Parts: sequence; C-alpha cells; structure tokens
Amino acid sequence: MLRRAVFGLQAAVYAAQIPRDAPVLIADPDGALDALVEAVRRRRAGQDFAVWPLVRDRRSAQALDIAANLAQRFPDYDAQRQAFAALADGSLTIDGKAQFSVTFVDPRRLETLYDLVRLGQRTIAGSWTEAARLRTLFPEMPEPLIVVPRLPEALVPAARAGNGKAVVVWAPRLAPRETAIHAFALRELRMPVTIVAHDAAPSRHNATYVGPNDAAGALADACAIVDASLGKASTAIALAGLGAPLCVSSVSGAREYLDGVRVYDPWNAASIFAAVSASLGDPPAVLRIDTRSAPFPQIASHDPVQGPLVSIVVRTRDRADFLKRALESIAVQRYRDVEAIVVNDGGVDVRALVEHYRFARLITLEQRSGRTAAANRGLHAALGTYAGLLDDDDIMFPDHVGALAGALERSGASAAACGAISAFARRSAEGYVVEGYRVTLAGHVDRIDLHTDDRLPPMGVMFRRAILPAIGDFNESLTFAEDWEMWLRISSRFDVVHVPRITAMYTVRQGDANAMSVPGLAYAQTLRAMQARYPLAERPERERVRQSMIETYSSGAISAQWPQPALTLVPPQPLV
Amino acid sequence: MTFGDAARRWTRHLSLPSDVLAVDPSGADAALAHALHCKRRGEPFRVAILLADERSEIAARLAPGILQTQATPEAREILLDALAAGTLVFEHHPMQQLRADEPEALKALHLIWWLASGAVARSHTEYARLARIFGREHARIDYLCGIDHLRLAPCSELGDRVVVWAPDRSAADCALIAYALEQLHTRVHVICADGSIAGMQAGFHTPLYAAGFMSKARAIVDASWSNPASARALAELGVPLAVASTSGAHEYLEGVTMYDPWDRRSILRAALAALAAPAPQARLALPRNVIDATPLPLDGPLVSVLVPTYNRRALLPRALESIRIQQYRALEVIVINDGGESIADIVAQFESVRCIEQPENHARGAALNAGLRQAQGEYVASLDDDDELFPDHIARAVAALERSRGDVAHMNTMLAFIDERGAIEGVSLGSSRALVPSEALVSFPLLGQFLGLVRRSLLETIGGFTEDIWPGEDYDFLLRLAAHVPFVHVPDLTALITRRSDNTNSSQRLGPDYEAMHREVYRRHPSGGRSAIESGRAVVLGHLATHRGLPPPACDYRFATPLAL
Repeated sequence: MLRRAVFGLQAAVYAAQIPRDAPVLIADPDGALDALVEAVRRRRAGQDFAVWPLVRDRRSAQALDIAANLAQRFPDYDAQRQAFAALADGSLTIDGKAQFSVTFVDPRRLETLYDLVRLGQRTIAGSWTEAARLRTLFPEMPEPLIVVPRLPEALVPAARAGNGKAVVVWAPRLAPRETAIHAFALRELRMPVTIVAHDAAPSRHNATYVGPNDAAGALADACAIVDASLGKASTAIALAGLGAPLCVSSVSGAREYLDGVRVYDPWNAASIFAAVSASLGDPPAVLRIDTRSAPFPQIASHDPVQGPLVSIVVRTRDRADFLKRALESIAVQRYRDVEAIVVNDGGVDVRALVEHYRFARLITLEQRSGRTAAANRGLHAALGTYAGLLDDDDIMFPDHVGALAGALERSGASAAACGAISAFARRSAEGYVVEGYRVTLAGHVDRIDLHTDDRLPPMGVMFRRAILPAIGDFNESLTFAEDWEMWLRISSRFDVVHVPRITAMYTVRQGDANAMSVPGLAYAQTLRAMQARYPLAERPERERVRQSMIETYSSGAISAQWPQPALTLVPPQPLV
Repeated sequence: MTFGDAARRWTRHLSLPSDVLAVDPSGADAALAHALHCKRRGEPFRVAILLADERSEIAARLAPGILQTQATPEAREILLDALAAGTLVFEHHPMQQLRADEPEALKALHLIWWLASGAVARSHTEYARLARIFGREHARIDYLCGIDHLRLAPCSELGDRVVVWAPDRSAADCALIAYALEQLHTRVHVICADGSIAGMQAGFHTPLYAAGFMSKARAIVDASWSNPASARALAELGVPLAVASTSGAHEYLEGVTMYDPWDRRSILRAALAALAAPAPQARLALPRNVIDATPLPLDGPLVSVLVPTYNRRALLPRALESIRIQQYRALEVIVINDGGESIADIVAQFESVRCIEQPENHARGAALNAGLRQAQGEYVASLDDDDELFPDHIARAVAALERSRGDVAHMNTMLAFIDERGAIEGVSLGSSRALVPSEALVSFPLLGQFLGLVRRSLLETIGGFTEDIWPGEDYDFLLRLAAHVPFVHVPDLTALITRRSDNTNSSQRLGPDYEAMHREVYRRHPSGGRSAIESGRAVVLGHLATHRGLPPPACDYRFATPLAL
C-alpha cells in the first residue's frame, strides 16, 4: 500500500500538504519509533518512500520554552528586557545551565528519526531553508525533495484583512504562555496586539489573547500579521493571501515563496519588534510561485532490474527458519539476475527448503568447517560477475542487489558498499522478538578508519568476482569478523565506492553465535591477526587505540561495547 | 555595474539587469562610492554580493600549511579533524576568529547591502548566508545564477579518474580536497589555475589541458564553494558530481552528492558516493522571480518640508537641491531663515520654495513652528540646512504612512564625514534600528536629527515642535511623539547626514550644555519608576559630566579617494 502515513501529533498538522496517495512517511520525534517500524516494514516489502521529519529549529524551540519561563520568572519589565536580550545573543544561563545546553527534544528520539530518514529514498522538506536545517541534524540524509506547500492551512479563515488597528500574532498551535516572546517584543509598540493562540486567555498589557474560533474577527482588524510558525512555510503562504503586511520567521523558509515579507529571528525579541515596525508600512506580500499547480514529484528508483549475474553466498547451520527468511529476501529482489549459493555448514538438512527456490544451489559440508571456510566454499562455486554474502539470519531489502550492482555497473568499480539497519533481537518463549532498530553499520569506507572500526555490514559489500585471485579467499584462520579482514584487504587495493543508502537488515541476537555476541577472545584474536597483517606504523595513536581494544576484548568484556537501539519497542515484535 | 574580479567573472556569461550592482570584496570601495552615487541620484539598485563562504575559505588557507608542516600523517589528520570540527587554534588564534576577507572591504559591502533596495543572490543558500553576515533582510530578493561557459564536450562514457574542477583557484586552495582524495586508488587530477603541490599524489594541471582530463573523468568534484554556476555546467557533462554544501548547487541539480569543504572525511565520502552515483540532472522547479515590485507613490497627499537655516549660505543649496529632486511630487517647501543673513537669492533659484524670515535667531524649534503654522500639507517633514535627503525619502515615508494609516514614520540614515575641502572622506551607518520607546527614554536613539514624516494633525494635537529648550529640542520632540503613537519604521537608508571636521556641528560646539539639556529632557519625561531607565540615565549623565559632550560617531569606512559632495 503506497500512501502517506502520519506519525505523531505535529506530523498530523502537516499531513494535508502531502497528497493521500503519495508514498511519504511524516513523523515528528514522538512518532519516530512507530514510523521506523513502518519504514522497516515498507522497505522489506519493497515499497519506496520519502520521509518528512518534522523537527523544530533547535534555537527557536529552545527560545519558545525559555521565553515562557522568563516572562513568569521576572515580573519586573526591565529585568525581563535584559533576560530577553541575553536569550537573543545566546548568553543566557538558566539555573546555572547555559542556554545552549538545554535540550529541546529527546536525543534518543532524534536518533531514531535520523534512522528513519536514512531508510527513506528521499527526504522531504518544505523549503531549502528547512532542507539546510535538516542537513545539520541529519548529515547523511537522502537527497532533499522540496515539496511546495500546496494546501492553505485549514485553520486560517478566509477573512480579508482590513486596514485595522491591531497587530495580530498568528499562533493557533501554541498555548498563550508559549507566545511570551512575541507578547514581550510587541509590548512597547504602543499598539493593540491580538494573539491568536490555542486558547483564549486574560489580556495582559497591550496583548489580547483569543482562541482560533475568534481568529476571523482578529484577522479582519489586522494592520500587520506575525506568523509565529517556527519551521514551516505553509502557514505564512496561507496568511499572505489575507492582504495584510506579513512578518515571518527566518527559519520557516517562507521568504523563499513570498516576496515583500519581513523576516525575524524567533529567538530575538528585538528582531520581532523591528520586523513589525517595518512591516506596518509594507504592501501585502506577493506569492512567488503558483503553489497550487506544482505536481507532487515522483520518488523513483534508478536501480537496474537486470544485468550481469550476481552471486550471493548464504552460510547456514541449524537455523532453517532463519534461512527461509533470508532466501525469501533474495527471492523478492527487484534485480532479476541473482543466484544464491547456500552452504550448509554441517547442520540439519535444508535440501527441501533450498530446492524450493529456483535461483538457489546447495553445497552441503559434511563436517562443521566454520563460517569462514563455508564462505570460501560458496565463493568458489559462484558463477556471477559480482559476489556478496548474506548470513542466514540477515535479510536484504528488495532494492539491495540492484543498488549495489547498479553502482558497480555504472562506475566500473571493483567493490561497492551500502549500509544496513540492525534489528536487536532476543529469544523469548514465542521465538525471537525484535526490541529495537538502529543504523549502526552505515557502510562508510575510509581505508584508515577501517583498521580500527568496521562500519561495513557483512552483506553490505558487493565485489567483482574477478578480483578474487588477486585478493585471495577469506582468511580461514579467523573464526570471526573474517568479512572485516576481507574488506580491509579489498580496500587496500581497490576503491570501495559508497552507495549512501540502507538496503539490508542485520540481526543482532543476544545469546547466539553472531558477530555482536561472540566471546571477546575471538574478537581480540581477529584484531590481533589484523594488527599483524595491517600495521598502522604511521599512525601510532590509532595503533594504541587498536591495542587497547584488543586488551579490552581479551578480558571478555565485549557486550558493553556494542551500541543498543536508541528506543526500545514495547511490546517487542516477532523477528521472523 | 560590476565591481571586482569575481563579479566580472560571474557576469561574463550573464545578462545582468541594469539595476543590479554586482560586487566582490576586491571591488568594494569603488562599488560603495557608486552605490552612494546611485542612491543620491535616486536610481534604486539591487545588490549581488559575491562573498566566498568564510568557513570554506579559511579551511582552504589553513590546510596547505598543516599538510606541509606536519611530518606524520597522524599529526596532519589530528589537525585536519580539528579544522573540520572548528576547534583548531592557529598561532594562538582560535579559528573562529580568523577572517577570510579584509575587514575594510567587509565594512564597505555591509554599507552597500544596506543602501540597496533589494538583493540578488545565486541561491537560497547564499542569500541566507549573506543576510546573516550583514544583519539585514531585504523585503525583495531575486535569484539569478548563470551557467559557466565550458568548452568541453559531454563525456560519451565514464573514464577512470576523479577530476577536481577548480580552474579559478590555485593549487594550494585545493590541497585539502587533494589530500582527502589520497585515500582513493583511483587517480586524482586537479584542474587549477596555477601551480602544483610537491609530495601530493594528485596530478595538478592548468585549465589548458582540462578537456583531455575531463573526457576521462569517472566522477567530478566541483571545488567551487560559493557559486553554483560551475556545477550547473559540469552537470551537463553526464558525469557524477560532488558539490560543496555551501555552493547552493544542490538547489539546481538533482542527484549530486554534497560535501562540506572543511571536512576531509565528508569530501572522501562524497567522492566515494559520487563514484557510485548516476549523473546529475537539472531540477525542474527553480525559484521564480517576481517581475514588478510595488512602485513607490509619486503623487498623493501634500507634504510640507520645513527647512530651518541660520547663516549657512554655502550649505543650504545642497539641502534644497535634494528636495527638488525628490521623486514624490506633491511637496511644498518652507525655508525658515532663523534671523541669519539673507538667503533670498538662494531661495529664488528653486521653484515653489517659500521663505519665512524670522526677525531674530531663536531656537530651532521655534523656527520649525513658524514653518508649521504656514504648512498646508497632510504630512510634515523637516530637513536641516546641512543635511541631504535621498530622492526616495518622502516617497517611501508617504507610502508607509498611507498604507499603515500611521502617524509617524522614521527612516534609516547614513552619516557622511566631510573633510576640510568639502569632500566625503568616509561613511557610517547612522540610525538603522526601529525606535524602541523605552530605549529612547535613556538616550537619543538617532544619530543626527530626527528625519521622518509626521502627520500634521498629530503635530497640532501635541502642540507642535519643542521650542523652549535648545539644544535637545529634537530629543524632547521625539519623546513626546513616542509617548502618543507607534512609529512606523522604514528600514531603507533615505538620508545623508553630514559630519564636518571643521567643528561646525552643533553637538561638538555645545558640549557643556549637553548635560543640562539631558537633565531637562529627563525631568520632562520621567522614567515611571523603572530602575533600568534610571540607572541608564545615570550612566549617560556621568559620561556627559566627564567628557563634556557625547562621543562623536565614528567613521566606519573611509574611501580610498574622497568623493565630491
């Protein structure tokens, strides 16, 4: 089902700007976790979608919170003035805490939102201003797609603003106390100010607070309108149609769509005063673009669906239910020319299962030979131009092979890497359950960093099979992180080009034989082997880091080292 | 109107509208002189300031030194990572304090930005950066970006190398990018204006050989940090492209990878992603410009301009001339000769200027009231005999008051510093902020006289200008207005206030009286028991008692050659 989905109250407000049938997930920090679960579901089902993360501008959101307290804490007007001035230049401290250390959103929710953004094909933003702001929060977000705000805000009444006598602050989503900075800024204007807030409230000084139901009357009497929206251009566009001069916030992006608006910084009361003083003599704002005619853009994938054969080596032992899930994820790849080589490493018979998939071949090892040897056996049997791994407990999203094969085809490179999202699973009475998701392996390849830090998921690298003679097999003396050692070898000779997308899911299982939970000793052994083979002579600092890692893992205290999901799913969800 | 090398390069392939003044720091001095000239002649202009992104420039300048002086790769990387994080300290200066451009040039650009009636930018990214630096938002912004002219054919197939495109830059400027890309096994070639860097793996080539290298490119890194024009041209080659996040190129192109020019990791990541990416495409939706801005009214309610003068025969004609060339036509001009030598011959040179002779020299306020009694206009403006209005002054003020139905409009002013020979040696931003009543209760908020427009009926209500104190009559008058009505602020610079070095400005001549004047104004306008105002006033009085006058305004920017007044 390709359609819009909304997560969180803030998100619901902006839903109307996206057509119902557009595949967009709109989420605010409160809805981030639910949205992430839905995003994983859609990716597994092969549905492309874009993500619109709704995060308020950090500085504005802080100011909104702080201002409400300042107004109450300082009854004296001049003390308030001083505090608001400090708020504007960022020098304010509150109870001994510097203003900038005040968090405006739970960092775990923000982290979850980032993971959600990375699962999307594109990132939606309402303006370039918003896109730039999102990029500071989510540096590796997918390319922005600017959606021209099309529908007027439902709450803006169709009144025609007259040449009234009051300045109207438009803040129907804020509580009266949250408009403190506007009320303060306009107190010296010597004019009546009407604040349209979420609720009506008793008048204070020159400000009258009315609820949205009385907005029409207030707007009809407006001589200037201040849009208090912090992050979105749509409200300002709707207000511009009323025919009164308009002040918009610098973070809303409204000035990209409107000509002749006055711009203010929402954390700076003086700039609000200045914008209003100037706007009083302005003509109404003019819309630059016909926002009704813009069609909603396509969120299309450019991956090839066919091409050279790709071999996927699937190692398995005694986990038939997981294997089925892994093979199923290969079966639904959009890229058609795929073969799977299932290597059964001395486990229970899976012949019937593998035979069910026409693209799969089975190699059965009579004895347990270990994961690394199994990988080599599979690779030797592979026929594809390109090859990659998929462990039986991991899965690919349906665009995985196409994305990597496409990158290799286009670029002619020898290897390509993408990222994976980790599913954190735990065994329970009903089988494995997922307790959370997090992007921990983003697929970055920095040759030097790779010596001490593996950010490449095992299934995330695809390479040209022709390089194998030069590179050699997986190192069978390793029982763990053999893939890491292999990528290090590849990257020391070839460029591993980067597909900045999340196209697979890595399973982190507590209490099972799996990368995230191997005994520290094995990990330490791997690191030692890599240290011997790939010394970092020119980087003694980094070598020390690696040495200390080896020492930590030798002591067996490994589990604490791995990241956990930012937010935990309650209740957990079945894994398979 | 193009000033500076970068501006000339930008406009070379661009048909710039005639009212756009394009300037970069190297042309700032001449451009400011020209901007002032345009402003005084009443030719409004929009400004396009080509200012390179500072963080990128500083990184480009510091990187070669780090790469040369540090012996080990690890030491280099630690410093480069500090550079990326913004925590580097260079010769005891934290890098946030370093400036890429001449402070003088920046001051001139700042004044041009304020003189302009609108702005032209190449991208939203660029406009947002400039508005932040210069501290003023324009109500009218237009977007214009050319495409660099490339004599290169589109690539028929992908080559085997990464090309860094920097034909306007020196090799040293590209050192950080070249270093970041040393991680690649793919050969890297840098196309730059000159030079090469010893010991680096990348090949450095002059633009002369660009065609050969570009035809074999597998990915291109555009090393243009502030201008999307080159990226737009490179996109037509059909090769994957990495662009700087500061350039705004991503607003025009779909499918580009972005890098932060100060961060080696981000450069490498973008290059690796570009190698795997399809070629970029032009975006469909570009910012559309609004064709006609609301014109200023040239006719409407009558405005009376009062010009009090006293023994300044040499200066008066310039003031009257500046009224004569006002774009707004419905004016009556009343000159009040405040008991000085005759000016009949001067007034006779100007059409429809009336002259009132005061029998003897009184305070300035009395002269203004004499003029006010004769005034017929809906609005009243005033101008001192030594100052000058820009031609759009009255029109903008009338427009603002007519639209807002307000009673008082006040404008921004520019200060001109006049040398002994009567030439403008430098300028400053005069008053540039909206008047805040409680700040005005502490000190006179405007540099120079109050220059604005007041509804005549309001003047009559409050009993005209202040006559009974002098100096300080304008301060008292302002506070009386502010106590009654809101001020509409017109944030354009519409007047030139002159400061002469020959000591004929009243504030300098009458230093000792200033303290008494403030005490009198404070007495008339009590603080209402507000402690902050009381303490502010105490500071002002203390200063006046010690320094026997207010500090003269400083000259922000001095011209290389003084301008004719």
